Amino acid sequence: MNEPLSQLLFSPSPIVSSLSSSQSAVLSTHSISHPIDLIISDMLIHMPIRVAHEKNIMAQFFVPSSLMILMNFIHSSMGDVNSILEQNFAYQIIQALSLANGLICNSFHQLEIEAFNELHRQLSFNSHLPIRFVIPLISDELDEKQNVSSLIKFNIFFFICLL
Amino acid sequence: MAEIQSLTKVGHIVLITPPLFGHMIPLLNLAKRLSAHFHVTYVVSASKLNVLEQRGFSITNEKDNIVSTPFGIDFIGLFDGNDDDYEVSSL
Repeated sequence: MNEPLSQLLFSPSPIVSSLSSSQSAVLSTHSISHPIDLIISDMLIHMPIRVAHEKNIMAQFFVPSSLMILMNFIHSSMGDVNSILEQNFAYQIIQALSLANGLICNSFHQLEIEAFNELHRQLSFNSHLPIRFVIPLISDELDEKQNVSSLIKFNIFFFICLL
Repeated sequence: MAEIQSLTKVGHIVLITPPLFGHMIPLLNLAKRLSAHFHVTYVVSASKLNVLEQRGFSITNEKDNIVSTPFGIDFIGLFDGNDDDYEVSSL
């Protein structure tokens, strides 16, 4: 994934469409049309954050679920039974977090206080990293298709009010 | 209306996700909210574009090679050789 992604985001020349040339390697369906102001990259994809840092482009690290899961990934590097692959992965997460301009987490701050504090301890070198919680990220279309009842929506709203 | 939107959308945000639905859908929901204020480009493995369209998350526009939703998000597919289906089809 890294090569096509790197070409798409950071290549100085636009990627040629599959319809216009057979000589250039076609690595994506089309090229990016506007200059990039901000990159938001998933917690499993770290290369864009590293390169964005080198090119002075703002980059945010996105955690699609609980912050606790991210902390479990990081903690997994500390055990003796884990593989080198896991250790490398945790190291890459820490490195990406050290270079990111912020972290966006799909959860509630109030549910993640323990993980939030632990992450700040781990990021002692970047303890001012802004961490933003953006729940509820609920798709209206998905709700309609999966017949999520209005009662569930009301409960979520009520829960937010309580917090 | 489209002209007004293009004038007000000054920043460009690129969102990148792995081809896993547990990661794709939350980032897509964030993309929809951001697209109200910014140009938004959503990057995922090209192998997942068809599935996103089948599930109603995106549509193919008149230019045929650009896939976008009514929210104005540009979808770009990466030809990364990833054709695996990571979804659990049966238990």
